[in-house]
Formats: sequence, C-alpha cells, structure tokens
Amino acid sequence: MRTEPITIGFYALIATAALIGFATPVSPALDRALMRAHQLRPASTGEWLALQALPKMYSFAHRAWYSEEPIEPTATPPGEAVWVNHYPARLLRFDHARAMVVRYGYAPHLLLRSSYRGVELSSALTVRIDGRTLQLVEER
Amino acid sequence: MKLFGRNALAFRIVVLAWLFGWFAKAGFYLPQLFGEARRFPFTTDRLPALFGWWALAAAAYVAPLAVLLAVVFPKRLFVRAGSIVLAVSAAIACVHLETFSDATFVTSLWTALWLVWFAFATHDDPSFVRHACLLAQCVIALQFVGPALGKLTREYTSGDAFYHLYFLQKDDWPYPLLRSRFAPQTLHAVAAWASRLVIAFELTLAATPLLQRRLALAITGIGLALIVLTSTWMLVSVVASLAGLAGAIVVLGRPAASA
Repeated sequence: MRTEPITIGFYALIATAALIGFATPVSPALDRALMRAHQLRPASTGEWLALQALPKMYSFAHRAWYSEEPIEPTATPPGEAVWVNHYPARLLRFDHARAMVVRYGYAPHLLLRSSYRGVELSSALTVRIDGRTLQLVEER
Repeated sequence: MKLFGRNALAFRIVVLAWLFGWFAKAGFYLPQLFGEARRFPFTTDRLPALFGWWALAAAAYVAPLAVLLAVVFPKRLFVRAGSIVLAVSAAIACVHLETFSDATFVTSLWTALWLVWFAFATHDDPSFVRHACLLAQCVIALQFVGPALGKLTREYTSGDAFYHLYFLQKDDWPYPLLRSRFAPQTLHAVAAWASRLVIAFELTLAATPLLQRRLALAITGIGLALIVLTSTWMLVSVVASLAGLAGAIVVLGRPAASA
C-alpha cells in the first residue's frame, strides 16, 4: 500500500520546521528574523505567522534594561540587565499589572538586546497608554 | 465508524494529556484573557488589531473543551472535528499577543497536528502504527531542535545565561537555597556545566527519531521529567502534551493481542 498523502505531508512539515531549526547556526538572516519575533517586531504579519509555529523556547540570549527616560537602541545599557529566557518584549505586556500602568499613565522604557553567535538585535520599546489600551511602540 | 481498542486509547491519552497541559495555567489565563485583556487591551502597530482582540484569545483558550465529546464518544466525526479544534486553538494562541510568549502553545500546536493526522489517516493501513509512532517521536524531537541549536552561543556555553536565568533570578526551589549556600563563582561554574549538559541532552532528544523506539522513549521520559524538576512545576504545561505523545507510542507500539 502506498504511503498516504497526509502522512507524506506531515513528515514534510516536520522536516521543514526541523531544517529551519538546523539552519539557525549558519544563517544570520534567519537569526535576525527570529530575534525580531522574540522582540515583537516582525517585518510582516506573514513572518510572524510563519515563525511563531517554530519551537524556540530558551533559544538565543536576551537581556533587558529598564529606563525611566526614553532610550536609544544603540545606547550603552543603563545599569543591571534582566535576563529573559525568550520573547523579552513580553515584559511590556505588564501581565496582571495593566490596571496600575493605566492608572499611573506611565510605563518604563525598555532596551532589549538579543544575541546569538555574533548576531545582535537591539530595540528600544515602551508602551503608549491610549485610554485603556496599552500600545507597544518603538523609540525613534 | 469509531475508534476502538488501542487506537481509541492512544487518542484519549494524547487528548487528555494535551488538555491537562493546556489548562494547567488556567489560574493565570482565565483572569488574564477574560479580565485584563478585555479591559486593558495590548496592541502593536506591527500586527493587525485582530491579534490583540481579547475575545479571539479567550475563545481559542476555552474551545478545546469541546474535544471531550470525542474522548467520551470516539466517533470518527467527533475525533476529526475535535482534533481540528485543538489545532486551530493552538495556532491562534501561538500568534495572539496575549499568549504568543508561552511555549505551551507551540508544543500543543504540534501535538494537535499529530492528532489531526491521526484522525484523518487510514487506520487499516498496515504501516499506520509505524507511522503513528515515528511521527509522534518526530514531533517530540522537533520541539528540541530550535532550543538546542539556539543555545549554541557563547552566552549559554559559558554558563552566563543559565547563571542569570536560574541561579540569580529564579525564586523556585532549589535556587534561593543555592544562592544562600554558595559563592557566585561556584554557582557560575555549576551553571556552565548545567548549561552544557542541557544542550547535549536537548541535542539527544532532537535525535530520538533515529534511535531504537524503547531507547528513544526512555530518553524522552527522562528529558521531560528533568525539564519540570530542574525548572518550575509550571513547565508541566509545556511538556504534558509531549508526554501524551510518548504514551501513545507506548500504547500503539506494543504487540497487538492475538485473536
């Protein structure tokens, strides 16, 4: 009996995802795309959809620095870093603390730096409070 | 037509393990999705507003309960519909702004895709069991390819990342105790070796489809247990669905009872 198309298709899907994973150490472009996903700065919705299905827990090194003032992505990091296992941009989601952020009308600024084998991506992010909405914005 | 025998048992094991992992953090997600995300939405210009819409994430989070119908009545129609619901829910959770950062939803997505394959594949095919076991082991292995390769960088091989993530920042046992007992240099040296061991073990887990089935299962069991024991109990949400797949391999892979 011939192998069913659905079986071949599932093997192919797994193999594709695995190949992307194995390409991580040799493709700086892939690394930068993955770092953009970790920092919630995908180049496009398509990139976000494609990369979010890839297992990437505890991959790459991610550090975050809090600042009271707006900060440049290229700035020398202020003070001690917080290390984050993955998706450091989630720090600005303020899970279970949004009511307080909205009440004070203020959110700290965050410098994120992801690195992997010489490839590095830095982002300066904060949240703009618009009514009750927290909108992630990038510092210019 | 319905599933029966070990196929039904394998389906039930995977689904129940999946649901256990999915809802293990319900105490966090239910108030977040139905409360905080509804009252204080989180958005970004980089993604369409739909990705921050609380109702989408909330619906995706509770929809998997519908699969219990297929667990009780494993008719092909229910099994297929339930598996698709799990896969769609997990896919939404992987990309939604309220849930994207939790690895639970990635392992759940790939396990649900295995369930979709299981629901639609022809069970009478003589190679069905072989493919079911190999695909399940491939799904488990895939979860460790990115994490293992993603740690092949100086920050992890030197121990810096583990030293900060675990030994300095974690408040779960035994890390506070270790901080109080040992000097930072000692902890850093331990972190370096722990980090290298984790990378080696994850590479081994990623290679399990190439190993003999029993050996692969033993390594998988040890690996999943170590992930929970050395980090935090909450990681059970990440590994539960994978443990379900390992259970399915055990059930499907045993010799069929003679007539």
